[in-house]
Amino acid sequence: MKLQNVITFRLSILKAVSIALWAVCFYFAIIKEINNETDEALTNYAENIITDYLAGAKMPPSNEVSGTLYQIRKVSADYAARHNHIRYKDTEMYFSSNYGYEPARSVTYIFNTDNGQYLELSVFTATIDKNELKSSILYWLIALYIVLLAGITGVNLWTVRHSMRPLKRLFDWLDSYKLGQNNKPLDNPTKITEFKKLNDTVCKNIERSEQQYKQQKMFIANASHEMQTPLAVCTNRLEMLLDDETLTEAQMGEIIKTLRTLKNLSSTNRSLLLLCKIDNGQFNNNVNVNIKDTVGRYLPDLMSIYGHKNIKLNVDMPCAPVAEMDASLADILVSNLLKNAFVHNLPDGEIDIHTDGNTFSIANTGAPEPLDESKIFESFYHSAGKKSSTGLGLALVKAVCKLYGLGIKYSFNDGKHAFTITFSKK
Amino acid sequence: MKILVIEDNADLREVIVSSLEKERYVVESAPDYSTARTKAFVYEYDCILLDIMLPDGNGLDLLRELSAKGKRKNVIIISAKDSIDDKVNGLELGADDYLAKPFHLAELHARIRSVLRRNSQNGERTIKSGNVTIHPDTFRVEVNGKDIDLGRKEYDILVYLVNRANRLIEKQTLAEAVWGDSIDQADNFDFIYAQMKNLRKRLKTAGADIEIKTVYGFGYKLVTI
Repeated sequence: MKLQNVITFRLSILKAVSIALWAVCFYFAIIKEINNETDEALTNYAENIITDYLAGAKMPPSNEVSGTLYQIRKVSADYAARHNHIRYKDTEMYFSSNYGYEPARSVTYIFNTDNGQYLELSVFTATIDKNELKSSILYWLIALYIVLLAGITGVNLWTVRHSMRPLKRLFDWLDSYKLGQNNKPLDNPTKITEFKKLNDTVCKNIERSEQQYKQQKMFIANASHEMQTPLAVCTNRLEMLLDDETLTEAQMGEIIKTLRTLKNLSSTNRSLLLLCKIDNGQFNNNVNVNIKDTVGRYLPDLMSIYGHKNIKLNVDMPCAPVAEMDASLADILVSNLLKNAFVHNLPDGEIDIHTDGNTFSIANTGAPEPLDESKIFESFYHSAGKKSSTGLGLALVKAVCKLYGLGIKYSFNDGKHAFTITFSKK
Repeated sequence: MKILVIEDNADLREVIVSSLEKERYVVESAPDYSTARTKAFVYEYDCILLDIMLPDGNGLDLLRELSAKGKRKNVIIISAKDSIDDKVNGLELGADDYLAKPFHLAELHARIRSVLRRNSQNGERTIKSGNVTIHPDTFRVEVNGKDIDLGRKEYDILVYLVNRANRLIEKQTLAEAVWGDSIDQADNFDFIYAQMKNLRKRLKTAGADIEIKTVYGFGYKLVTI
């Protein structure tokens, strides 16, 4: 749920509650005011009648046209003692003009004449219908609520959206941000303190991540680099040992096995350094490379090296792509893919190489199951049972593709593992 | 022949020095930039092995100074940084070769020999071993003055082994040198055996007095009979 919707929804609920509370208060305030006014008028009227009555003056007519009725009756002293002498109450009164009872307000006075006779005067006046008042207040308040809600919601949405614009810009920037690449600096001017702080915090964190990323890359590069000299020392000492004529075959075998292990270590090391260099964009000697030529340079040697596997080669390169890239990186790209196709192939297997103007694809028979596409391009991913590889070949391929924005895709069709590189159209 | 080894790592320096001494070179060494500078300017050397990263300076600066003074002679850069920039810079500054760490001692010796040969006074470009002469410029091989026909790989193997005569060359190393890095995951070396068989046959038929010996199935050694 969007923040602006949450805010609007919560505000609407709060508004509903507060408007309801306000409606109750408003109703009681109005009723009280009306009662006060009515009671005052009734009191004046009743006092006039009592004065007139006691003075023996002519009594005004009691009729419903004037809206006021009164009646006087005699009551006992006992009754007078039991009742308040001035009583107000809400009642109903029959109006013959509209044949019905209407709400009315009455005041009842008990007074006594000079000769000690207690009299009770009741004065009625028509008043407003409270139920009608209630329902009309309710209707109007609902109308008010709807209008307010619509208005406030609109205003809210607009205000929130406008106030949140820096936040949106920040999110857009973060979405497009890629670690370790050339990113636009954050351009998000705002007067809102919180967003300013958020901008600063995000920028600081990004900077920290960038630094860590750089340090990590530097660390790999430095570690690989620092290992080169000790590796050279070990290798060379063992080589000097090999010059000893008195060595037995077994001793020589052990030394040579150790040398091979050292060689694997140093080639891993070299691949790691290469990977770092590609990631750091240290190859920028771009030339036009014809992929067909590159393939042609590697194929004969690979065929002779893996001649014992008796692999059938289907080459279909009618129109090879020409890519603008560093020649040594093109070699890495092509040779690693070709080598993989041979190394992971089965005896009497097949390799299909196909190019058209824009793609280069290579498919080979091999393991019966498809590879895990999400992992094969990771460093040090080994398919089962192939421990001799450095596990960096495809990582290098991926790094080269990333550097030049080439598309690379793995697929598994008809028992063949295929890698397809798409060169950008120009 | 006098060689100056400039390398800050004591272990590696010691290994290189003792291996060169075995080859009967006169070897001097320098652990840092200032010592190297003093020695290089005071004495004459036939070849200088130069590490780029030194504790008190950059080997390339020394190369620059030597070039400026006209004292540059047969410099081989040895660097842990296998970087193209360094390579290009070094070679532009007048280094004769560039060797990335880690390297094989046989490789180092071959490079030194090649550099010395290239810059020898008579400018002789041929490589000789016994009665076999190799003309690298024209890819020709002569045995007793008579040309023999070799396949491309056979030629590459012969050149590699002649340059590293009397040393055990591991077959994987040989394969990598001749077939390139693609070899690194190969688990079957039949392709070398086939080439080797042909090469031996051709040398023997032509009456060459060098022989490629198999050492316990680990590798090969070129020896003079």
